[in-house]
Amino acid sequence: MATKTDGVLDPLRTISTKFIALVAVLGIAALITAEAIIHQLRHGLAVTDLASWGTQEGVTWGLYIGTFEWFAGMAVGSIAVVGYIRYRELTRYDVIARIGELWGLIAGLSAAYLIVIDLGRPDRVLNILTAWVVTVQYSPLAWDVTFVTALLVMTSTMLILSLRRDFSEMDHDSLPVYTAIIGQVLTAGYRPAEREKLDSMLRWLGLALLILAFTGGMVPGWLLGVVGAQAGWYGGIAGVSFLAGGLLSGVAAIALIAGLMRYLYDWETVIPTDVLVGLGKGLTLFGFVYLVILFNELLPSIFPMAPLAESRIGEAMLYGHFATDFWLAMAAIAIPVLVLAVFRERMLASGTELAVAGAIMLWGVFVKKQLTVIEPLMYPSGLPYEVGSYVPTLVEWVITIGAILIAILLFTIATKLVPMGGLTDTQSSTTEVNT
Amino acid sequence: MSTSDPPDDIESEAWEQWATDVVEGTGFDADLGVGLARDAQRVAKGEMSEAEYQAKYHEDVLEEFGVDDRPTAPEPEAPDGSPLPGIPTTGDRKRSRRSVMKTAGAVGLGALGLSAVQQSTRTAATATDNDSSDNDVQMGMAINTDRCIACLQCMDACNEENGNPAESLWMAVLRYEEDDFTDSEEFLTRPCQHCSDAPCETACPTNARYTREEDGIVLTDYDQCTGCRYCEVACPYGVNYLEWADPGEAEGFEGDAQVGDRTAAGTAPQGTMGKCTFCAHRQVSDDEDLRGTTACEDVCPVDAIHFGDMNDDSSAPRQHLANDTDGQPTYRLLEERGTEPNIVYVGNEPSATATQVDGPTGEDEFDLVRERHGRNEITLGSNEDDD
Amino acid sequence: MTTAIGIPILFGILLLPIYTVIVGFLLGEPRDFRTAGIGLGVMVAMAIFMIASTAMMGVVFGRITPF
Repeated sequence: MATKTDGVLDPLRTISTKFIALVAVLGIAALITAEAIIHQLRHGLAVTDLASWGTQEGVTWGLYIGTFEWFAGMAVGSIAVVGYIRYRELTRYDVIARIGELWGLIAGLSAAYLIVIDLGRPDRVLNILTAWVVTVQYSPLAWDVTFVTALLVMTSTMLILSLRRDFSEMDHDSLPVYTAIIGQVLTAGYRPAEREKLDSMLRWLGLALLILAFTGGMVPGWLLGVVGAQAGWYGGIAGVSFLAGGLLSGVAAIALIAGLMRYLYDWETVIPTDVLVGLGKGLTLFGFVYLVILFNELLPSIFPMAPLAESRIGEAMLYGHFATDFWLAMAAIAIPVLVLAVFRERMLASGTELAVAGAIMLWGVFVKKQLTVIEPLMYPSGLPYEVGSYVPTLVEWVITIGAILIAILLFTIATKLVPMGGLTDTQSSTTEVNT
Repeated sequence: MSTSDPPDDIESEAWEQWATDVVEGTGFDADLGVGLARDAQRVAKGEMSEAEYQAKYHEDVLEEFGVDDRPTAPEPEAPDGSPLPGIPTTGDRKRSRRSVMKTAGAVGLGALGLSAVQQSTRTAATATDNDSSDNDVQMGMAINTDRCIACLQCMDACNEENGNPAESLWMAVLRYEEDDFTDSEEFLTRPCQHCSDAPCETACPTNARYTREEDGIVLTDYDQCTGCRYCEVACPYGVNYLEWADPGEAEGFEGDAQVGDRTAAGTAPQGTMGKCTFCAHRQVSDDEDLRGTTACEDVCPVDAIHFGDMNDDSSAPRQHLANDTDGQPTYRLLEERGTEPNIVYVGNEPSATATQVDGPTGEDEFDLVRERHGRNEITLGSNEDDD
Repeated sequence: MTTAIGIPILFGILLLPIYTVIVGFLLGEPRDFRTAGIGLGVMVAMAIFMIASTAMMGVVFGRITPF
């Protein structure tokens, strides 16, 4: 398959004016974000609209934590996809795995630094690590730090080892000089004899990523689910709900990227239609599962037998203060699920439609994550406190949207630095795939 | 054991003989027992300070009984409830049963016929209720909301004492209305509940939120706190206040923030979590008059707040609960959440449907506000449509 | 009763993938401890890198924060 061999390296060989313009725009966005972060570091969290719940009638966790949950979910979904592809050795999905490795890593990093930005004393982030030996014995936040660290370590290891394999087959002279240098470093001490072992190790690493996604991947959900004081969070379904939302948003992010790259680089052979269909099936399935779980999460709270605290939150979500956001988010997930299920092959032929579906679903999950975090804090139960309010400030919006744009910037640059897949001949892969 | 009354003069031969007889019946060191009992009398008469008393016999008590559980023992035992170091326990900060019995036996000698000592030293009191499993000092409060007139002096005194900014209401008086046929309007005086099973401690990822072993007060180590606010979401009472902004020209805390080897008293520095400390700086103060008191208790004009050791039936809160409830019901806030709060309320409990009504903190006479600095002004009841 | 449920969560759940990698790399066919060593070395290096960069972030932020 000579076409693939050439095609997969296309992003490395071309640097178009459009690319430079995109990087410039995203770069400016990154600078503005950096300025907002410095502003917040100088003045503290007072520049946000966060306030203590209770007498201050605010929410103490807001956009940053909601966006953390969103990024962490995407990272979980991405590594689940990577793990499945590497474990099953689905070489036709090689490019998808690379996208997932890069995006999983970038999303994980974004989640990690958003948590730090949300701290009142971000300069003391190391305290969390030094106290870890004691706090991991009880604090879900310490588990969460453990999980995010494990995710970053294993995803970056997967990226490095799979790049080592890919670079080992490439003629470094044909690559741009910076890519060639990366290749030299990553293939240091490479012996052709280790190829078979490397394949085996990538399989094991894939299995490990799958396990991580489906076990540790629930921790950001438990973070909220164990909090008995907050009616909307507490419960046994929180971890599962987070995992399902994560799988959906991870696959959606990868589908969005894959669809866009296929469109930009005419990658009809590098990302063949059946791979797009596989991703589309994944989106349909995970979107549906996520909706089912959300329904299970909400139904008890709106049923007449619901305890008071739960019912206030459920009602605010379904008919009250948050209803518009909530129903738009649900529509953003449900309609693509429906459309993908009905028009599957026809609609996925080009990849752009898949990208659009992915983007809409990502937005839906984003909004739902924000609502999940904010709502119990806004509708306190127990003591006679007032309903709170929360209108994120400009700084919060800039840092949040900036975090997303910086993640996109990092990915865009990465596509020009490392190959998006190996040169492996793909004819042997005949397995029909259901992601 | 002899139940005859002791001679009055503790310096007399007759008293010595009487005390020796009593102590020998227990099988413990007679000299130590007699000494303890005699000096306990001196404490009761005010000839000797409590601290002197504790210090004088600490080593002897330790040697004889292997444990000295008296309140101001210089070296507290490591926490027993947890098999691993530094982990918050879930409310059972108990000593082993055996050591409790031994200490009870030891100190029990002082209790014989010496009721005056019980009032003064508290050591003796442990002997009288040695069947209650918790032998530790657990500071707490009895708050009589039936007496509360919402004058807000406690809130003002708290912020004054701790140097808090106006928006950090470690003590808050909520004015609420019951949404039922009574339409009654009541007050809830709400400091931190200093739970024995504090969810905030279990949440903390830096081990900054902790219970002081000596007296069960829940504190925040300001040097360790990263301001993640997980404690705040975990607390069902909403008593945590992050210091969002730079305190600026605000006066700040003037006392000593050091509590033991941690920085935990007074207002929280910017970016860290603050909450009611039961005036921890007073509890570790050198000034004996300040120990066992809080700013809110001192200032309350209707004597609604009573602070003291909840395990000591002679303490102010226990005495209030025993004698002064005027038939009002008593309860602990949200007890069903299993947090084991150490504040006992006297009065009507707010129901789950109670709503806040305009009141206390709107007044300008104190430098108190609800809204966080930089946020929109809060009008109570403005969000009722959202309910 | 204590709240030390974190120990089983850490060793029984969170570290499962680490066990998988270590066992898989070392015992998986074909046996090749050199390549396995490289893989585990990369993982350890990344762990150190992640923790070190967190520390760096704290230091840099500490420079900016005035409090």
